[in-house]
Amino acid sequence: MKFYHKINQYILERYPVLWNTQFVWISLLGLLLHLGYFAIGYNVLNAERIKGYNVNGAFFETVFFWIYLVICLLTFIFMSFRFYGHNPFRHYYPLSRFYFWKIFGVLLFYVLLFITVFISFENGMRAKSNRLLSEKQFLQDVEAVNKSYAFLFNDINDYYILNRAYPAPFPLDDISNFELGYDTITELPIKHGIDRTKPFVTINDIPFQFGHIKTILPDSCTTKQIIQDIVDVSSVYGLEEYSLLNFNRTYVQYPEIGYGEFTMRNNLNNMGGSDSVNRQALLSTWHTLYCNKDKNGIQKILENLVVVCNRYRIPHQLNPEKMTRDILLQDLVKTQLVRTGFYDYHDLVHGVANSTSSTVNKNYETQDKYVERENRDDNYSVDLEQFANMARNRTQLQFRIGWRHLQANEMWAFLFVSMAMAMALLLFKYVQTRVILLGVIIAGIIGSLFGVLFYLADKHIHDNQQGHKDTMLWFLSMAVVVAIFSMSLISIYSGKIKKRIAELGFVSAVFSSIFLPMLLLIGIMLLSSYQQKDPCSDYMSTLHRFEPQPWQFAVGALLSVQLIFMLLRRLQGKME
Amino acid sequence: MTQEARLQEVEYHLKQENNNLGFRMLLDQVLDRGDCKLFQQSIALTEWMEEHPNDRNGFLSKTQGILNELKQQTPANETASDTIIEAVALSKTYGSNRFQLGPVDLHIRSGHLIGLVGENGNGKTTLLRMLAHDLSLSSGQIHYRFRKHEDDYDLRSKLIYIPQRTPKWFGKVKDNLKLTAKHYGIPAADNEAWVLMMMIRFGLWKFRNHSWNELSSGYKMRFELARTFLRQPKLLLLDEPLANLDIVSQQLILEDLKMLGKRLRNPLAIVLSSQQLYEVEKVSDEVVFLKHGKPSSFNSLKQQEDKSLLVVELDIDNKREDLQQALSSFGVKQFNYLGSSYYIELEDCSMKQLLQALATHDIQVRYFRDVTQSTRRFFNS
Repeated sequence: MKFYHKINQYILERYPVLWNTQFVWISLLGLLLHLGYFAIGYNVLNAERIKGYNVNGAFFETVFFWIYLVICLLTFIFMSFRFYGHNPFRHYYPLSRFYFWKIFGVLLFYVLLFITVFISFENGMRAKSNRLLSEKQFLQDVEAVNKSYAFLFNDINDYYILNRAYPAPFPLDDISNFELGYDTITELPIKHGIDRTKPFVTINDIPFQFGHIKTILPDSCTTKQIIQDIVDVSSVYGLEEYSLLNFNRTYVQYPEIGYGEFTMRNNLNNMGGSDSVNRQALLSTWHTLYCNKDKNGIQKILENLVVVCNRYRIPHQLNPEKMTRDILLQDLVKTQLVRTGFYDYHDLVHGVANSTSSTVNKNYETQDKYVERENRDDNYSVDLEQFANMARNRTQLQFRIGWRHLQANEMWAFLFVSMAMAMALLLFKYVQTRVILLGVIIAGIIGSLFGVLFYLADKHIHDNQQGHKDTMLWFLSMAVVVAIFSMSLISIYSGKIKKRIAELGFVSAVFSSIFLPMLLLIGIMLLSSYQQKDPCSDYMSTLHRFEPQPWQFAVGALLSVQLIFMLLRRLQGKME
Repeated sequence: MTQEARLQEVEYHLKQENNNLGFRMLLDQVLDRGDCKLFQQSIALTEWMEEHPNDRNGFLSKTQGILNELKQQTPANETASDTIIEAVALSKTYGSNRFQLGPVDLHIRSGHLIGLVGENGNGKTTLLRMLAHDLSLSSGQIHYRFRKHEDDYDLRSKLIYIPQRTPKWFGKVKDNLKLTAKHYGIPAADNEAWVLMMMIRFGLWKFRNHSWNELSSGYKMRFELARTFLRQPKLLLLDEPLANLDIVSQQLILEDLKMLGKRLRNPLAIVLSSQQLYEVEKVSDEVVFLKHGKPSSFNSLKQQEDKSLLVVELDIDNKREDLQQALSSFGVKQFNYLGSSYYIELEDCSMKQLLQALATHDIQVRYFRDVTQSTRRFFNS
């Protein structure tokens, strides 16, 4: 107690803002909360749960979330007693120019500290997953599962030409690639010299015809695209056959998010963690193994799968030797004899990973391609969902949640939300609740009127040019926001308008000053836009010379905060 | 009064066994120096006094030690008593035909205490709030002479207005004072000493570890004053500060205000409104009486006043007729019974003659006050 008192006095005499906001104790509590939730996260995950548990959002689905909420609430109440009780601003104490920034900084720190507790929970789980699954071993296992996957036949369509990965020199690295099925081919006109009744492939909206692709040159619509290589896929083996050359699925992708079945990108070399595995080479290996009836090769791959399953205690009913024999007996084009079953993909996505067991081919009598063979012992099954769950959890913990993911993806959102919360806390301290409530009502009325105005304007602006319409609506928004902001400024800065009246416009001033920089940035973007006509059609696309970045919005928000502080000070100094 | 004279006064009071007054005056001298070493000595003395409440000799020797230290030090610079606020033709109107205050002209000088008296609803609070830059003016001007290029907020940080109902504070008394001291630029190393000094000075020592809501109304007012003096403002405006205080506390606070307002270092202009006429008049340098929103400065009136007029308030056990009989030999200008006492204005009558007349007619006097020099007279006009 003496120590507590001493620390408090020391802070009070030197850093009143920190004393007033209970900085040391609340920060300590926040850190303890982070540590505690790290430990909880670490303990929540174990060897069994990692196979069936969905770590994504796990924090919010446990009782620990409610405990966390109660702790946050109690902390807020504890802080409020002092924070809202001691108000130098309301008592006209001289305050440094940075006083509000200090308070705002501390509140922002608190908000960030407390709303990021779930990250420590996830970091705890990540630490545990790193302990449970060694990276090197796991990547090898992923590779083993993926290698075997081509032989765990599930759907004959996985082996069809539509899934074909095209050989080099296709510029496939960052392209969108799609092919049209035969059903849709006939519906499309022949364009750009492509006969769509025959097989073709479209890469970056450039159609390439199989077989005689050398004759097709990029036309005027694609002048921006520099095609250096002329692609000839006419020599691709077995172009229209069911073949292991077409198998494009991977069960577990890594390091990207991967669980369950995924279609590999055509140029995807990464077959599951090992960059050394070249898909083209792998396809070729599968194809060769299958064509050469290489019993040992296939059996070895399946045996590796069994090893992986045993390592992670994944339920399976696999017999590599018998499976290999069955695989080599089947005719891929006509029949598919060896199948392993999967549970519903939807369940898998939603974290339901039960053991999988399916009796293959026995209930597909209506489908020609699945021909039942009498007296077969082909009840092979493997609960690969469990492995997929592990991989998914591991991948999520590594890349999709935690600090790294936050920094890469949601940091700005977190920052903006935290800033808004900190600002709300701050305003509640420095502006009377009555003023805030009345201000919110007035701001609501103004907002509703603006909404109606915006709706009517949107309805009545007859302009086919989307860009012009956006600009006009932007001008309307800007005019309204500037008008509200100006009126608030006048009411606060005018000596003739009483404090009581000026206070009513304060909340509107806050809102409008927050929107102002945002609107300005959007305005610059709109005004810097230009339209470009597609030479092959009437379509006009809108392009922007300037596109606002999150940091620019952040700077704008900070300017708004400064503006709000200035208004607050001015308002407080005003006479009634 | 020079610093030397002040120290002599302290010695005199201590010698006369006016320990409380002497000690408070000593503390004022210590505060005037702003020397933390002296602060520490004073705090140590207070602690000692707490442990040895009856050791007068010890007390005297220790106070003498502090006095000697004070004498050795260079006196604090005396600040000239300049006008700090000049209010010209201030007026405030509420509604079209409702109440109007003013026009009021005021010259407020540092170190001066102005009493603001008047019946309820005559604009005392309005005037105080206008001076505090809290209420807008309908017309007129206020010149804050100390104002440089500050904004309104900074200006208000130098004007302290304490309303009748003091604001609520949370937590410990000492913590709140420390927070105030910190905001007003007192260095961290001296913070504790300054705060304890103020607590001693305003009689809050025994409440140093108490929370604010444990204080009585009187001590809450003392807390406000301690907080105020830590802020070292230019102007202190007090609205009915004596309203909730007992008679002893009223006198103590008024004395403190007078003494502290006239400190050599940072003298303070004080304007206070009160219904306690006589107490306020005793300490005020000027009294402004407000009636129907119009001011009368009693000081200027006093100068013009007919010296031969005697005004008294008295209450007697006898009948009204007996009193009238006793006063029949004087020129009675006004004779009013106000319910609890008589208000009498006599021409060509001295105090001696009046007392003799009352004695001769065997008038049993229960209460008597000479209000010739008091604003009390305005209440009856």
